[in-house]
Amino acid sequence: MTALALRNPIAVLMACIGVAVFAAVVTPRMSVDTFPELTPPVLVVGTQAPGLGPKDVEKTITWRLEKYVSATPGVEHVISTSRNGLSIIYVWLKWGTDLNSAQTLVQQQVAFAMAAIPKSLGVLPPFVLQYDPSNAPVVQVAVSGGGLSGPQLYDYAFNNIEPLLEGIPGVASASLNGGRQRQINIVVDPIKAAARRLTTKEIAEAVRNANALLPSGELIAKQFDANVYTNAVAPRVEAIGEAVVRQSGGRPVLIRDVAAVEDGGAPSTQSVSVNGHDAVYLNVLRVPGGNTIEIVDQVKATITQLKNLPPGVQVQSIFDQSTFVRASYFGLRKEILQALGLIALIILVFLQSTRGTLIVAIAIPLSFAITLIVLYATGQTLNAFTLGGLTLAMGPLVDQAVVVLESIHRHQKRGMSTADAVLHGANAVALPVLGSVLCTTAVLLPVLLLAGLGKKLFAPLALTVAVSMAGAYVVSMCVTPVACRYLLGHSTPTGIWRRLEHAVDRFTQGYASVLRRVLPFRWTIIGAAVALVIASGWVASRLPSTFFPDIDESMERIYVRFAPGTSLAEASRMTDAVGKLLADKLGKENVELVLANVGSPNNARSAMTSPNWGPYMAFIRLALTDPERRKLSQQELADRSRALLVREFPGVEFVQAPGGLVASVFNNGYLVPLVGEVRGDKLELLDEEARAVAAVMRTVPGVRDVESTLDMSYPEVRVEVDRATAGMVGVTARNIGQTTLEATLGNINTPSVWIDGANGQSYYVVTYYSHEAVSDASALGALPVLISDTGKPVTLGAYSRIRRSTGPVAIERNQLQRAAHVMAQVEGRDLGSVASDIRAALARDPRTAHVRFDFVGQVELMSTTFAGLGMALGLAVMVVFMIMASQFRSVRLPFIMLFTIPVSLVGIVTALMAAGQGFSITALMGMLMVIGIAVANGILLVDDAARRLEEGATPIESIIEAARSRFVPILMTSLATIIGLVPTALALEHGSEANQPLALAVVGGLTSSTVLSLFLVPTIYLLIARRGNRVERKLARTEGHV
Amino acid sequence: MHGDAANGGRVRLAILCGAALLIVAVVGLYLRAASRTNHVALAQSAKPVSTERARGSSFRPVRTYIGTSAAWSSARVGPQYVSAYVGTVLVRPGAVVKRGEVLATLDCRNASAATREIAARAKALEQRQLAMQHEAERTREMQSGGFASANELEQLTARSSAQAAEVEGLRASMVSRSLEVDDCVLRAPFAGEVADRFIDPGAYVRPGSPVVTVIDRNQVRIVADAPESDFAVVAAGTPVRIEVLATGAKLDGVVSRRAPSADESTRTIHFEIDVANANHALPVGSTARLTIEVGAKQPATEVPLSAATIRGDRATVFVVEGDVARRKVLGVVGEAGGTLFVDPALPAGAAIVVEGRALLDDGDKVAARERQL
Repeated sequence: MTALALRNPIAVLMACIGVAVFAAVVTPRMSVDTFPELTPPVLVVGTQAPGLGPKDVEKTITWRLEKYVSATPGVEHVISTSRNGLSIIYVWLKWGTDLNSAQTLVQQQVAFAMAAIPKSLGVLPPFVLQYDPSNAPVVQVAVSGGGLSGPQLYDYAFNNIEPLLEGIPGVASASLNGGRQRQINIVVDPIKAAARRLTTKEIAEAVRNANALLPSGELIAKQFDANVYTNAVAPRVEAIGEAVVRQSGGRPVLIRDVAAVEDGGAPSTQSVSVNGHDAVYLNVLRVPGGNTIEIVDQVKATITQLKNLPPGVQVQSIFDQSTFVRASYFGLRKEILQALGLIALIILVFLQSTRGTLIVAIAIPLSFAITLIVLYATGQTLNAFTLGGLTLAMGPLVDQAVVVLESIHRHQKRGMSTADAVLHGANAVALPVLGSVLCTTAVLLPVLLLAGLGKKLFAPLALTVAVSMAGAYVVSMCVTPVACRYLLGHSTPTGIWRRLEHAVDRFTQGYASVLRRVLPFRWTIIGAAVALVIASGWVASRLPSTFFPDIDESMERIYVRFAPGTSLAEASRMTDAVGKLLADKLGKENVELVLANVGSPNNARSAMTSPNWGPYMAFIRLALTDPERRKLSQQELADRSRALLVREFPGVEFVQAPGGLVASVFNNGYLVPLVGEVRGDKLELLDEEARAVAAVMRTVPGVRDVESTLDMSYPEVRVEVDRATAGMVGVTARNIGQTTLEATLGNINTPSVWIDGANGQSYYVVTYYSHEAVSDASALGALPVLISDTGKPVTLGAYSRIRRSTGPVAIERNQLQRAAHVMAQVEGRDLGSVASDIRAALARDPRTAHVRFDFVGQVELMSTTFAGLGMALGLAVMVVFMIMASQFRSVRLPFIMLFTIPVSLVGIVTALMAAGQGFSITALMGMLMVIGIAVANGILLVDDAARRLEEGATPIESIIEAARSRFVPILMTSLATIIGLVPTALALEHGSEANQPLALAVVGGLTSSTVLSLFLVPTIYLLIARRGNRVERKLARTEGHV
Repeated sequence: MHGDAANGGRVRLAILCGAALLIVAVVGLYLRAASRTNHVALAQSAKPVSTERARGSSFRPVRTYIGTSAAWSSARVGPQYVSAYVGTVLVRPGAVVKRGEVLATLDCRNASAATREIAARAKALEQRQLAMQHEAERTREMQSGGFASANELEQLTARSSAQAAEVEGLRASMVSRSLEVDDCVLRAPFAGEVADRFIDPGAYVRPGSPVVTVIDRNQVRIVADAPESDFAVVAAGTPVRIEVLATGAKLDGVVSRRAPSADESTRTIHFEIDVANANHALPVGSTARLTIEVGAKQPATEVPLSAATIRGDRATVFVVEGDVARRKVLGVVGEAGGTLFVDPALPAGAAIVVEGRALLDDGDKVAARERQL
């Protein structure tokens, strides 16, 4: 390869220019994101069943749909929530399943299931959507001001903004929160209606007749055809009130005589405020794989292009996730540039040659250019992991160029001509360099064995490193020799370069001298190393562990739960007070914006993504100022808010959670990282078990914000009809059910539709009893179910028992079984140890010892991914050993290099603890990389020693000489890698926190493995080489005797 | 040799010291990290709760009915015998009328003429009957003298009697006709007010057709129907709170009468409340909301509805006693507008947990703070 390149220098130059140009063209076209595409394939089936309680929703809709959907090919598991008037089923598909075809199959299954659901329930047709379980909006669009009422704001946003946003490629939905759906209300005064012997049924019938949306036909005559239109739909809302309900004594009773006709909204079920002002907002969710920056840019462009805004109305984007993505990208890019500078400096110090530095420096951008082209071709984005991979690869790829350069230089010094030195020098190290490349790359192969999210996360990093290494190998074997041929020359260092050369030489001699003095104490060295490794292993087993490092995304979310039964108005008042307290106490220097969202929206697509299941639930989103502008980290602010809220609002349940996209991604569809699941069939028993689990969780240090999702104390009003006696007067159970529905929500199962001529939109016309009149449970009993021919009413309470009870606000299911979730947060501790303590405490406690408990969400993800990475580490060691054994044609020499692996643990543990970090998937990935790089260093050392031994040197001389000659390249490679990762390890740039543990593991691991293995590897080598010699001598003696 | 050994010892010591230092550093870092770990469990501190004070009160269940105000007397005035064109209608709704006052007249010319004809025919027949009677008396005298036969006398007497009967018949017919003539003048059956005027002059009315409605609302009846289960609730004499929607007036009354039987189709019990209305302040035919308190006032303790878990007639609340939360299961006395009335076994002034009940257990230590409403 080198000979070919040297014969065609122009072709090499052209190839270099071509690669650089291609990379320059494709790189700006690559999408930028925080992470690789991590979204698991999930579909959501949403079914709105107005007026049905959670238990009815579960047994009539969810259960049936779940059964059918579970039978769809490719479905991994099914999770559902049955809420008031809404069934939501999350269909988790196996990784790699094609979402579009799965969506079609699930739609078919849903259609089959729906055929068996009675039409009288008024269930709306279900929708099946692709869903991002992180459920974190990429941006929100707030609409406020103009003096518009809730329904007006909602209507404007619904008709004018939502369709535009949902038309943006990559947007899954832009569902509305806050305000109320515009609706024409026929609010019946029960007293006036009763006095005129009317029920809501008759009034609703009159509304339907007065406002009929019907086809009018087509006139087909002999001479002409014509379309026919009637004014069956009321021209104005008020006109509906003019309709006659019935004639009494020759006089008409009009709708407006017994009811108020208002152009209003659906009953308030949700309230939203932004900085204390009423608003509505659109939650822009992306489809799985949607690009955050592109979506947000288009959303912003759409907002600015909005025309004919009502006077005073403001439309603004809030909680923009692209800010973090951009900051993260630019931070990482800056770190790469810093690393490049630092590495160049290191090379300059060790090579003492600007030309040599230039030659090595050329290798880095060329390798990166090759990598970027491959990443573009494979559809990867520029994210923390691909850019992190580039940073990580920088050291090893410098190593390749340096080894080639150093070899050429060495051959040059032996008196060869430049051309010969280049060819022989490059060829001499081609195999060892290939070995080190294979080792560094091979350790990444087991990543392919990871499953799910771990694989999605690390495959791009592994691909980046592997391509960089392969590219760098090609560059070091083709470009570096050509560059050396024309650029290297024979200059002798002078001035500062000479002094540097002497310093490096002295340092090398010093190392050789120390090595010579300590080598006789082989067992002491081994003993000390073993002691260090054991101590580090012991500490490592106690290191904090978390799935992913905490990232400051400047967005915090606080879930609030008041006492069940608290009204929406009261909950809104208190939530606003909570928001105001946080804004005041945390200060403007920390909090930019407070969004309060109380209650559950009544449109299905918004409700589907809302964590609020009832009017007593709320959440607050805090937009924090940029991390650079504040003194406190997001975690510190969260801890401070927690203390504040517990003090000021005792008893109100709060759960703190980071509100950004990154934090949400790893929660695997749950609100917080720490979620335990209890399964069972009986709700009461589940509730009891969940409460017991929560009580035990509270005993574990560091656990905060404990909350059970199953709450059986949500108020219920039960109307139990005495069928026999009610039947005597012609009252049926259906009459009772319909009356209670109309008394509370209205005839939502059979509404009329009115079309507003002004905007062409259609709105429901719903007839219901005035809520003021039906203010408590006993008032229900006075409502007429029917009116007899003699004009006498039969009231609801006459043949029904109305009593209070309690029940669940929602019923969750997992794998076709009811489930309760106990959520908690951690404060001042790591997720891993807390989860492990909880497991132990639950097993110990008699209240929970028998409970079927499993962690779900992030903890489950952490367990499976860590197990996968553990296996990957083991496999990496095995693969490295196999490569080295093949390369050295020996199993003894690779065994020596394996000793560099455990000693790296000393540095890994030290670096992580010094930075206050623990194990995470990124740290484990760093450990994987350390194995490759550390072993690669050892390969060059042992290879050199083995060569010298073969040439006849004694074992001790061969290893000391090899160590002395390999000292600078090893040091340079390690320092280049370490220094290149120092900016990331120090997390100097916002957004690089994700890669900090990886960098720390590599920096620490490589430092310890380099320093210790510079002594340990020669020691082990000596032991094994001498043993080998003894065996050979013994064999020789035996042969002599024979 | 000795120097080499000493040198070797120093090297060994240096290696061991270096390793020991590193171990100390690693363990030191671990201890530093461990010292920063949160060792405080939530269970170590009292559970925070918000409370409200229970209030002593009383509760009396109420029943609400919708009633209609009705006049004490109401008459639809119109012809009973005659069909005729309406001549005049002298009153309009709201007019106050006295008993016997003419309300309307009908065009009864036919009836008058018929009456006169009958009178004339009766008079002629009466004269003929008188002549016949005289002839009969004269024949009787002749018969005593033997100048006439007994048969002749008998025939004359019978004819005279027949004509007398015919006269009586015509007289009766005349009385009937005069009633018809009287029917043509419609009068107020009692003192009251005109509520409705159905017909205007020129219209043709038949017997039974009302021309006007006269009502007497010096006393008003509020009529309503209660479910059969409330039969005892609406017993005569039961106090009733009346709210008249038309005027907004709030009155107190008692159930005056109750039907002894239920309406078969609706199984409702009819009951009425009499209300004096001398000043005619209450309109009739309007809506009244009737509220009846059932039974005697029961002593109760008021707690916020959201502070209790209610199942049937039992409510569970948490009461803070000292620094401990105690679960109390109490009988529900009643509920009204967001307030729950429970058994007075719960003393007034008790601190009831309003927020923080979700994971609270009996006997838990709590840090209570009274909620400011």
